[in-house]
Amino acid sequence: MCRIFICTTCNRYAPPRADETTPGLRLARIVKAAAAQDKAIAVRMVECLNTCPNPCAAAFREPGKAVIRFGGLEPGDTSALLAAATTYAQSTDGILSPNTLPERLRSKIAGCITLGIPELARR
Amino acid sequence: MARTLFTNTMIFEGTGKTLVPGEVLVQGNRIHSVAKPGETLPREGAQVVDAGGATLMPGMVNSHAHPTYNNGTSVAELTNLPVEEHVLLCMHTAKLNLDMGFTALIGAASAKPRLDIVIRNEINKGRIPGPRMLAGSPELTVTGGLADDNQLDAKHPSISIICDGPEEFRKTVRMLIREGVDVIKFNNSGDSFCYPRMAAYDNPMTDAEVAAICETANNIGKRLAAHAHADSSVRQCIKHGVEFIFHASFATDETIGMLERVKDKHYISPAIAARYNTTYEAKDWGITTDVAEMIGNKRELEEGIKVMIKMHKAGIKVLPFGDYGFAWLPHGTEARDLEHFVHLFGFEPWEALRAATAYGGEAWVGKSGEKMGRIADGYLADILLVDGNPLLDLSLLQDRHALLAIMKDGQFHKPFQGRVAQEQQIAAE
Ligand code: FES
Ligand SMILES: [Zn+2]
Repeated sequence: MCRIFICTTCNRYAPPRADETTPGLRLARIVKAAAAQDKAIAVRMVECLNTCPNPCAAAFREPGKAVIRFGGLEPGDTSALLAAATTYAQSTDGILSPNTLPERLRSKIAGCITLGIPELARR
Repeated sequence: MARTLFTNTMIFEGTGKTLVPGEVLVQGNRIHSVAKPGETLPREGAQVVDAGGATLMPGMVNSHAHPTYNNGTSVAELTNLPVEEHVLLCMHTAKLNLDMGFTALIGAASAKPRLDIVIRNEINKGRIPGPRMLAGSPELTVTGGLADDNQLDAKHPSISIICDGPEEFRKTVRMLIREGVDVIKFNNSGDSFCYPRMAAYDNPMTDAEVAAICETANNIGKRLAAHAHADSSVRQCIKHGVEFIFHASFATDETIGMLERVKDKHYISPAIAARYNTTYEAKDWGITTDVAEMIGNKRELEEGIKVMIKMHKAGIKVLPFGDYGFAWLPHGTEARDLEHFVHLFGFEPWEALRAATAYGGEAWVGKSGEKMGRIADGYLADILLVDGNPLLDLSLLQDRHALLAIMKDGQFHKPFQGRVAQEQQIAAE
């Protein structure tokens, strides 16, 4: 089971009118619909992933693994994101080197946090 | 009196280790009764909500909330907008909090003196949506302390009221209570957020000043909260009966032992996101991990984690959420703390949820005798229906689409439209 977190607020710094959909929410819905066939992937539609200056944003955050954030995403990245989620799910530490990622995501890594692995291991 | 009967639910009671199937009857603004597995409750005169097996749990309580913070990038920036716009911003933030499943907030410092107060009053009158609120004061600080951003030749408005000496604090506390605050907040430690002026492990307040604040507030029955990273800050809080101790990052083992002996009197709020996110997720705003290390934020994070693990083991009540309202820990993302409590502090998921609900409710009501934060007879009807089991995946609570219904004070803020309906709505959108 892997979770993809997607920010539905993006773009925080260019908010739409109250009755309009944000690009982040559009992306989240597209990814959620695409992931619906795959029971192993859950999509969490969240309010922010701290990647606001570089919308749209997604993250992988499994316990005991690196936290990976992506920025600058667009609907065309959907299948690459799902593929990366599977790679992440299969890796033991969650550290994704660029060459394990689909080409179009390589330049879109916005952050990688490894804190959590030693914390979890110590328990 | 209006009656709502929730059937076909899996109940997280607020203190239980597992979900238990059952029914819950709400009458007026309270939980009237809870049916155990196999029992049923009377249907007569009730709106029946068949929850389709969804989790029913208490609304969450943010015991360290800054609904007036504007997602700014520095302490001074948090109040850097005209009061008119600021009121509207707070109104939207209050609604967002309720949308995200927070049915009660404890104001932990207001960016301008009357903002928490007016928003609380409007919510209480039912004119705007929002959680139950205790209104916080601005941060009371000393000259040069956290949130005094002035220089001799340059004034910088910030989120504080600056006082020096017991008499100035006494007068300010009385003035704020006159205006209507519920919680007096003061800063008896520095912070990486005021680098290089004063480190988190330094305490600029004299004992006489802290005594004056606490005595004045206690005499009128108001609550107390302190920004207290330093060991001596935590000790002052114990000595003077400060109920809400924020951060406590540098508490020594001896101080943790002292706290353990009076653990029914205090709640600890590490506000972990102000450390974790600042250290690891703020680089888009110029705070790389190296910068976070230089200003001391990373050390606050690492020491704080060690302290919270010890406090949790000692049975001290450590509560999640806190300090949201900065650019890299914006409002609406508070529930991420629950996972940090599990992965960084060693909580079991049910313990993290207990802290978010039962303990948060107990903290909110204080000595009033009110009942909040559990699914039990006589408790206030602040209730969430969740699409899944949060004990298996706490991240459900970060996703507003997983909150199938939100009830506050017996009234639906978000009515239940069925589990399937929600899925269809997402697909159709
Ligand atoms: S608004 Fe989308 S990452 Fe912050
Ligand atoms: Zn705070």
